[in-house]
Amino acid sequence: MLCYLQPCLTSLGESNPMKRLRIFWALLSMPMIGLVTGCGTESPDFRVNNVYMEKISRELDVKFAGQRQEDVYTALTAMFGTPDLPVVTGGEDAGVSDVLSVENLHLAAGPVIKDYEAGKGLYRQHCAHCHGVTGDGYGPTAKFLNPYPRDFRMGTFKFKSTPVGYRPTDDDLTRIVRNGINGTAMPSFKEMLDSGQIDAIVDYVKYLALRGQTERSLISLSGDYGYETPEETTETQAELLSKEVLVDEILGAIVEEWTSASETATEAEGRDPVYDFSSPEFDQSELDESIARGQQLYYGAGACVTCHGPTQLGDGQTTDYDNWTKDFFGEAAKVADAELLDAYLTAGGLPPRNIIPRNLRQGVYRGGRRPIDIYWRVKNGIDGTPMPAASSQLTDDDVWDIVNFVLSVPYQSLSQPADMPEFVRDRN
Amino acid sequence: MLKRFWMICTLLPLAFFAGCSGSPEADFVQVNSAAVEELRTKLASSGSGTETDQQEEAGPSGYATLKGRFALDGSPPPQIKLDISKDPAICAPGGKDVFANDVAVGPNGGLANIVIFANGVNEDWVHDSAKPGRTDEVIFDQKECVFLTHVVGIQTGQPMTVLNSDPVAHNLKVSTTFNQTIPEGKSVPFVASKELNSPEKMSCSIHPWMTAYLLVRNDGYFAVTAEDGSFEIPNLPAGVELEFRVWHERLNGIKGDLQVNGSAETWKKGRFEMTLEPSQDQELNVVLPAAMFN
Repeated sequence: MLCYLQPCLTSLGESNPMKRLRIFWALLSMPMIGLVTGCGTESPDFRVNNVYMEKISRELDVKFAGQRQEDVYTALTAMFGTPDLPVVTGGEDAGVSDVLSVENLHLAAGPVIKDYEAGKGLYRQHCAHCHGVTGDGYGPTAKFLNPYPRDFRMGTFKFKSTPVGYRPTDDDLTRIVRNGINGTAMPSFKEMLDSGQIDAIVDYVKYLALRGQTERSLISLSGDYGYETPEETTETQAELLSKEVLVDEILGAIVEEWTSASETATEAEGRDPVYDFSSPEFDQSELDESIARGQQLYYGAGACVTCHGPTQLGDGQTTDYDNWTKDFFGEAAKVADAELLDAYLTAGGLPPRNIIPRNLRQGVYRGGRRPIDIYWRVKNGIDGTPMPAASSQLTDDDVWDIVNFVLSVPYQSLSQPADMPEFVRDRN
Repeated sequence: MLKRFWMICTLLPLAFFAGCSGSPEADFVQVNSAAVEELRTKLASSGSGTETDQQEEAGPSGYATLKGRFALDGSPPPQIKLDISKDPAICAPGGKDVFANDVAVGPNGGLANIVIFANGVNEDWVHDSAKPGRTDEVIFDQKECVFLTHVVGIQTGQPMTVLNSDPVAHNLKVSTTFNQTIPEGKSVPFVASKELNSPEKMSCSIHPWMTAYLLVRNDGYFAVTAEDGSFEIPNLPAGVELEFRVWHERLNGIKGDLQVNGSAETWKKGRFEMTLEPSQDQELNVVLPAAMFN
């Protein structure tokens, strides 16, 4: 440090040694002050949902600024606390203990102090750089990833056992944290974290989802109220910032969605799908027939061909967007509206990207490669995306036939042509 | 010399601190921690807030019908031509032009597909004919890749059969709550479980230009305007103030300057209040200026 500063001091051209010393100490202390009061010690805050406020302000002709915005975030902070100190105020009345344990939140929350101090700051150590401190999918790395990290604030998750419009079960979220999401930047944590730590992270993800959903409800409800005169403001605050509205009405309804999730999980029905290839009773012709029926359904009543394409390359419908994007734009076509897109980006939305149907020839299955995983995708559809559930006209056996076909596609000769050089085949 | 030095001294840390803030200021809102604590205490206190609100509201003095018509003043806005990017032989037979028809203007300027409903009507005031639990089936069909009913209103729990009269598969995606494939010539059942305060978009992911809207209400106090712009909501509670909400696909909530029963009015946020006289039909004729749709 001394050697580094010496030329600086000389360049100041100060001849008086006493003054020189003073300058030296002043210069030396500056970075120190910076270190003590600077970035490191500041607690992070939750980022506000500017995109949703922009949407509601357009719909209801209101401005989210001043008292209106402050009231929303006063309520949200009172209910959910801060990233360092998460709480769920009124959670007891709303039945939140059936959804998550507040003790777990304290294991997952807070700053990362030491790597080896297990069970503290887990979320910020392992998740926040992509999913953001707020769980808005807007961490520092988010814009460099494709697909973007999940934004938890709508409470919508893609890879789960429950139908479209329902929340995931604990098992669903745990599976994703344990196994990661193949074909994306989401890694597997099963070798790094023990099950207690994974439980804590799952609870924290649910906490961020509850908080994000509450934030959305509060913003849209707040748009219904007036703030034009001091009397109106007082009246609004008395109504909006009441236990009845915040806990009974808003939080209660959101918690109820989460507590009922496990009842809505889809059990595997129909014929046993797991083929034991080593069993002497294994009948290849039976599997081949199922695959052939699945292929028929792929082009016929399953209508898979419309999006996944006639050769399963995922090239049938490539201009749509997911629900996280359409939440603001309303429909895919509106993303091309320059004024709307500018407002979305200014409010802090990530540049919209088309959602592309899976290329089934690659054999990369984001939600898991077990037959039951593919069954859930086909039977229930994929929440938050254009992928629909199979028609209720299809039987469970039909769905298993589609599963068998889908799982066979990467092994077809079209996927693995015989004349491909050996090393290319190995790599793929 | 000394001056220059102090300047450097102050500027450097300033630059240093300014560099810290990773995100623009607007990403965060400063809240008053005393207000947060006060509210937290209130929310954590036992007992529900409902008790304080127990002032008995006077019930309705009878029932009345609200009926009338929505019309457009001026020339209809130009129609939006849709891009038929899939199955053109079925969705645009003969290569015909297909339009969004989101502003459907009928005879005498009548505006179709406007939704009007009474919001937040006290459950105890609901007339028997509008009570929740309707069981008659609603048919929702699609042909030539067009939803034949553009705006559908149903009650929670009321069965809706989604037909596909096309020789290609469709899927019905209801906003974020439902998404199912309907094979060619087949049908699937749909039941809505949650009341909505504004119609939700229905679409088909296979044919992304297909659009319709769904309103779900617990009670039966809603109407969708017919081709000539007319509507009727019978048996509304009279003698009590009701809040009505009015929605149009292109406008969302209908707001701004318009004419109600011949006199100028301004609606805010797509809603207005009204108290009906018992046993008397109340007319509501609304004229919207064409400029509203531009």
